[in-house]
Amino acid sequence: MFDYVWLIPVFPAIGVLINGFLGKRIEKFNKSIVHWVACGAVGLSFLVTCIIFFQMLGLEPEHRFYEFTCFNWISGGVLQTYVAYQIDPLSMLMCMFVTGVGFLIHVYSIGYMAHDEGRYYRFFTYLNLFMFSMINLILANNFLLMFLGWEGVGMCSYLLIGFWFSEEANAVAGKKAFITNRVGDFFFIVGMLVLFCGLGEHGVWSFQFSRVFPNVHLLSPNTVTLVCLLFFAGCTAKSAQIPLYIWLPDAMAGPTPVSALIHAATMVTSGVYMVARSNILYSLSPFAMGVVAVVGALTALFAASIGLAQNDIKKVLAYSTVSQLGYMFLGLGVGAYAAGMFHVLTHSFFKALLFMGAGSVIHAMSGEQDMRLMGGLRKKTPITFITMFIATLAIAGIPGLSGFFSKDEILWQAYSSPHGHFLLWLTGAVAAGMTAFYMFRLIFMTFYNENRAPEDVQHHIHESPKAMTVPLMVLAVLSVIGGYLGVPHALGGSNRFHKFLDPVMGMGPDKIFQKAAGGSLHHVAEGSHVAAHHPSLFMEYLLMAVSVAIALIGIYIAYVMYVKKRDLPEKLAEKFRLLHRMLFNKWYVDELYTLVIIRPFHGISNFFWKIIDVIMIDGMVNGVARVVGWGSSVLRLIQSGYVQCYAVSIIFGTVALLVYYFLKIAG
Amino acid sequence: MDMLEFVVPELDFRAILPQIILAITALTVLLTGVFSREKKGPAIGFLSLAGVALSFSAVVFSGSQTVSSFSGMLTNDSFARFISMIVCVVALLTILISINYRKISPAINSGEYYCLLLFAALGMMFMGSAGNLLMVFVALETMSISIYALAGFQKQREKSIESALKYFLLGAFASGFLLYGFALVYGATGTMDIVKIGRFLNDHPLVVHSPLLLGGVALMTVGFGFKVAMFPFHMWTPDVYEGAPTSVTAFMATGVKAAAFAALIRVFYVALGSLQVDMTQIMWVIALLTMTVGNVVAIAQSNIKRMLAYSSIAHAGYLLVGFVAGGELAISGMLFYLLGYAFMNLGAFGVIALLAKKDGEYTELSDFAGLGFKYPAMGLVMAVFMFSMAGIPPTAGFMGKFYIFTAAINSGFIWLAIFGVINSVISIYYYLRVIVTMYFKEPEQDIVMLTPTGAIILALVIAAAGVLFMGILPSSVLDIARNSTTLIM
Amino acid sequence: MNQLDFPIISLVTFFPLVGAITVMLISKERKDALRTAALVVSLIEFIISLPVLIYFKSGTHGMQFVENVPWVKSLGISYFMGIDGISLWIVILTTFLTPVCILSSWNYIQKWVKEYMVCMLLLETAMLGALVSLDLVLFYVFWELMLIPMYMLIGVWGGPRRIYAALKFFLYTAAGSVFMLLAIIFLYYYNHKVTGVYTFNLLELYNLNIPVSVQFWLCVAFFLSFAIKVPMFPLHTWLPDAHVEAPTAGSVILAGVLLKMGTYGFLRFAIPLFPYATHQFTPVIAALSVIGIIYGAMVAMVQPDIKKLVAYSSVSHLGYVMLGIFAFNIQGIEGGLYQMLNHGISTGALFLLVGMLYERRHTRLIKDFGGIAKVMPVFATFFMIITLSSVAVPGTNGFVGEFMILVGAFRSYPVFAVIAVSGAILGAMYMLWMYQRVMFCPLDKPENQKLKDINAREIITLLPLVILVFVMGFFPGLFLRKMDATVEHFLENYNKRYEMYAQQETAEQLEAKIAAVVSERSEAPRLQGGASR
Repeated sequence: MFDYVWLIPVFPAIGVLINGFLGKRIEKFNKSIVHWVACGAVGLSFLVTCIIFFQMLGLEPEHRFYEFTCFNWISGGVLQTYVAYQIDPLSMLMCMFVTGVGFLIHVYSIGYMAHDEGRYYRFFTYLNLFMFSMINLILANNFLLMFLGWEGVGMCSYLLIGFWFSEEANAVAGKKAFITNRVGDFFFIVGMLVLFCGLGEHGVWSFQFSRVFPNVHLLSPNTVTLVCLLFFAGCTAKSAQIPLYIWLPDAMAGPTPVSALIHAATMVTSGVYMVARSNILYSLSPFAMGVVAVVGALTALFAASIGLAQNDIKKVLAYSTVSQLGYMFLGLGVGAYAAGMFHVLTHSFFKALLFMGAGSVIHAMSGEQDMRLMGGLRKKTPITFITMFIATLAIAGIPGLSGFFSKDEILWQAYSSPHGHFLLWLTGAVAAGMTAFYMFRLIFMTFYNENRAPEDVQHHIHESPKAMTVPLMVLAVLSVIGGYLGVPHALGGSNRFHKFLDPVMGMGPDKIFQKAAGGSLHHVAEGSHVAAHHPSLFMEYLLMAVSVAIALIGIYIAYVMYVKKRDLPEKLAEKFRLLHRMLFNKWYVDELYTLVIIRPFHGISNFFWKIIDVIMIDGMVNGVARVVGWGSSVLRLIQSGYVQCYAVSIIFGTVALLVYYFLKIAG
Repeated sequence: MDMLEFVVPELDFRAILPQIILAITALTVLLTGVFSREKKGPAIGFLSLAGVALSFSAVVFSGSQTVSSFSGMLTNDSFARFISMIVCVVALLTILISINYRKISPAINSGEYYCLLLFAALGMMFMGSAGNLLMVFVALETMSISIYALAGFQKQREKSIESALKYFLLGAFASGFLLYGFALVYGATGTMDIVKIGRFLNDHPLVVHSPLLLGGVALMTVGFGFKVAMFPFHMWTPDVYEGAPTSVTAFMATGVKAAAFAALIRVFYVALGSLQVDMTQIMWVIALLTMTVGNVVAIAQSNIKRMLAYSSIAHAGYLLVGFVAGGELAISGMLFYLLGYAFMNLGAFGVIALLAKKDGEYTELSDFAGLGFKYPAMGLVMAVFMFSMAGIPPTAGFMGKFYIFTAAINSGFIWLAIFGVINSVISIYYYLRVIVTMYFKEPEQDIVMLTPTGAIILALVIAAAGVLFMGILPSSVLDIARNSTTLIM
Repeated sequence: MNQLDFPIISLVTFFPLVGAITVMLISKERKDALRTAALVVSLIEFIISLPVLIYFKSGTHGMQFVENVPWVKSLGISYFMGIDGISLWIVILTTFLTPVCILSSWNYIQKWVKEYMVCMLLLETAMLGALVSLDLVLFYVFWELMLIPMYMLIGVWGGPRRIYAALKFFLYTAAGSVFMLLAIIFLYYYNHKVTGVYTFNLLELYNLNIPVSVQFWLCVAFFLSFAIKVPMFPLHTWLPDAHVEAPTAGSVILAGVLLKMGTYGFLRFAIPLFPYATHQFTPVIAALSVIGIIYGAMVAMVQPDIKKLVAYSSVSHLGYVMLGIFAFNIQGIEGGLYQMLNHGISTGALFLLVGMLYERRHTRLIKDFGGIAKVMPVFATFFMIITLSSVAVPGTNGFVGEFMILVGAFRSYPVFAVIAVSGAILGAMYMLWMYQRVMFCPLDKPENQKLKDINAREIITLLPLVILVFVMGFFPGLFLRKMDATVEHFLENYNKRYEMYAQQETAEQLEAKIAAVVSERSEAPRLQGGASR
């Protein structure tokens, strides 16, 4: 009944083809057709998604699953893969907000990129290509097609980060993003191979989710852990977790709509989506879950700490994104898949809004990104200010806004879940405080006090055009209300969000093992044992209150430091010089990587080339030739030209022959 | 053996009809040369050409029966006919080259030159069909003496004279060894008849290992080895090849080699077949050294004629591989190789003969720079000859090597075959150098090709066609060669 | 046997030769006429090769369009040609790439146009001949014949070190192949000894039972020859030189088809003829392939010259092909075959692109460029697509091949496969780093600022390749289905024959052991082991 699902990816693909091949002509003819095509494509996708979504809502939860196969893709022998899409609550949820937010950002780009002459069509082509890849990633019903999207979004991110390629920094950042993602993809591919061949040993040769997940019990626990860790390693690149987060802050070199779309709302969350999608696998491996949770928590704290000292408005948001993604993984790691996804959803609203707001600010400031040169924009760009302020409240976890619900649920689960731990909660809570601090620092430095920009820039400050502000407003509304989809029971809600995802997430290990009696039973035992642990409602309220308090403290400190006593930051920086420098320089991680990995690598490569290839192998080859040549020049000396010598040689030969024959007789 | 019985020789002149034709032509040419004052035209050349052609047809149409005539002095078998065919081809092409070459060296446009050439060819033919050691020697001397004279034909060129002198001195020296070797063999076996020696040795196995016989064999090896340019009797080759007029060099490099190999094969397989086991080891070593020395030293040569001289030593080495291998396949391989070698070598020398000025030739390798594009047709055929010599398909050179190595492997000489192919890789280097110079390098000086006459064009076309034909459709020639291996035992 | 009742393979093989002769008749002054004639010939050639593709029956593993005529009867050499699922696509690739190459050299070649075109067409005949020959001698003839036009292409129209490169190319490959020739001859004799038949017919020789000890050496000879052609580490050093010096079209053909001859040779000759020895060598070959993947990529990374970078990337890509083939399962081999096509298209296109840059700037050093995308946007787009295909981004052809190879390899050697996957990271590193330094960054060199974007002819040259990149990336089934039956049969046969040899080997060992015991006990003359029989 959802056979038209293929339309969702196809619309952006058509957009790519039209703008890609004819864009140059169209742009010369009429620039607006370019963005009409691009936005229209995504809009149609969104429309189809909505139709399917609501159609699906009309079904019983257990029937909310549908697969549609388009065609056979890569096949040979037991390897049979298809371009096929899967409709279930998880994929549709993801698709809804990706196409929705994507559409808004497309519209926003019309305004933002308006001044980019000649390459306007290119930008929209890339955006559409990104949408195409992202939709494939989400809707895929197998790992391989998911990987197509997975690499595809990485590629688009590369193209878009380096969009203004004439700046070397942009080009370098794009390359860095791609290669770091490639490192992650390496793990993803290996994970797929292990899974494929591991299951293949039991006769299930497939990448298809609906065949893989019901059969994961066939795998040995070690294999499951290995696969989970490999997949998660893949996620650390795509979703910017320790240790592969390094590309995301640099990726801010791209145009701001790109940062909003790709590096905040959609692409970076695909890792979360993937883990959520593979929740059955992870549930079978408590160790892997632990790793996910710890890495997530650490990333949340670590990135937030760097965010404290950044001056570039987009860099702050970038580290904030990394940090928020850490939260999501924390949620996944403690088994709260739905909570993680919930945060993906709310985060996409407010972070996209923040980026777009930042874009609007940069637009107003004629391209300036340093917050030290901003200030006082509150009056000149009111819409931007208000919407951004709302988003900041949301991200800081102020009760009543979307961020509060989702973040709080993660924190609560981090403490209360059978896989949780107090330290995980504490890390998350501290990071939440930092988040509140640096976000309000951003707001105060940008919108409050007096403007510190040069004269000529100040004159140009203006509110952005409608195409930019309308999406801001829409997202602001969503940032407020988005949270009410999943109000927890403790606050009197019914947590509809959880229920909605239940058909995907609820397929816990228990059910699988019920299906496969005789599987490795100790897993079941372990799972059911852990599930017995139930913390009290009081505790939930208490922790909620604490985290809100921490956030408020963070906001207050920011207010003191950046509005009231504005010389304080400098004094503090003086006092804790080492710490400040470490934070300001992002803990020197990039430098460390360069020193430990990249430099030696180049050294070895050069050694291979200059020593092994040129000197050793070629030396040997040429050496043989030289030896023959040398032999030649020596032997030719015998040829003296004197007849006597030749005669002697004949006699010599004769004697040799005679000696040979007589020896023959003797012997 | 009853010495007193008077034998009426069975005189079958039909058996030597091709030779007779050659002899008559030679004399006619000589006389024409003496009586005709007009020396500019190519008439003499064409006359000789006609004679050779006639002789060739006589070979071809002489039927396929095996005839032993003149009391076994001559054996007109298919092997002999194949050799005669090669000799005719060589003579034919040489004459065609000479007709053009007279522009550089007017001296050769004389009756004497063609007469000597034809007599040399006559000697070669007799070498192929000699049934008696004495006959072998007479034929060899007929050939050799004519060629000594031919080598020194450019009287005004010092090198030519030097070449003739060296060849003569060393050749006479080697002939002495050969003759002495024959004498020893006669002493051991009591006969000069090749077939009878073979039979005698079969019946008297004790004689096979007598010092007398083996000494004879050793000395014969020297004599033949000198003619085929076998290591270590090869030293004369570069000097003589370089000095002799190019047309003569071409003749020498191909005809003499074919004839000498023919005699070698007949004497060693028919007469000394029982010795084969004893010879194998030393011939194995000699074959290896011959090809290696030839190929390796060729690399260092800058003069193309010298380079081809060394290359001819190397080719003798490959042929010796066939000789070591023995057997029907090897002999047919050698025959095939000899014919193919004749085509490609004559072709190469023909091209060199084209690049000349009055009383001098451009024989330095560097003189060939850029000529491939200046004279495309010439460059193309030269490339074909070079690739063929290097043994790259689809040429006669490849097929020839293929048969020879096939025979070697068939007889179990795998290592010799391996050394053979290593050698042919080495040889690729210097053959390619000619192509490198012709096509890849810019010309250093302005070299003008001799205006080619129809004769030389014909020669080159025949040679190139022969090389390609034997490479692409080797079947027919190979079948003839295979039918020619039945020696009179 | 021949479904068309027409010697289509001979026509396809020799048509370029006929074309070459026709081209020779045109006056050398009329350069455009020469170019057009060559292009037309190669296009017609491509069109006549299409029936092979269309009438090819995909369900069967046997040789198709077979032609078998005695050639040298007395030696058992025959003119035996046929196409199966292994050679089909490479044949089509060859006929497809040749017009592309001719088109690409339209302006680049100004000197000796006629000779150039003749060389190209001759080369095409030689390559096709080698691909369709099923007689060992016939194959060898074409195999060596390929060297001549390629040698001329490098030597005459090449760069400054062309003579060295051309000689190196020729000697390296010739040195490898002469040993194969000996092995072929040996095989021939051995076959005669066993069966009493003199034949070079490959299909008959497949069934030959060769003693293990002998098989080993024959296999070495064949492997050496093919490994040089591939080229496998450490026999690869001729490749960078040859590529750098060769003219653009030469590089395209070299990378696109000539290198495939090596991998094709493994599939067609070495493996099926010597299954047991192959099996013994497999770990070594797989290890060398993996080393090649990593080594090639690493060396590519530090190259200052774009063309050399692409050349080393070939070493890396061909490593994948070899790894796939030596995985000995359907995914690996089909992936390997697919990767051969991919490499032909992607690396071919890369060489074309590098050539276009070179034509404009007469340099290939990366440091001489920068910001080219600004002045040559269309070029940049093509370059980007091909770059992405080369680094195997999903959706492009490269991914399909690489992924299948990895699946295949992982099933056979997980560790090697994992190392091979890391080659994909390196691939991205060197390609994107190069792309960034050439196409991106500020356009700061005045020479680069007035470069012209590619013209219509160049677009037409590149477009088919780019389209194929995507078609092959999204619909690999079109290509893979024609290989299935052959590859399956290949594997089946390989396994069956390997089992047979393995049993024989155990029996022999047993016999030898018994013999040893017997001789020890009774001092009796040693029994002859099975190996010497």
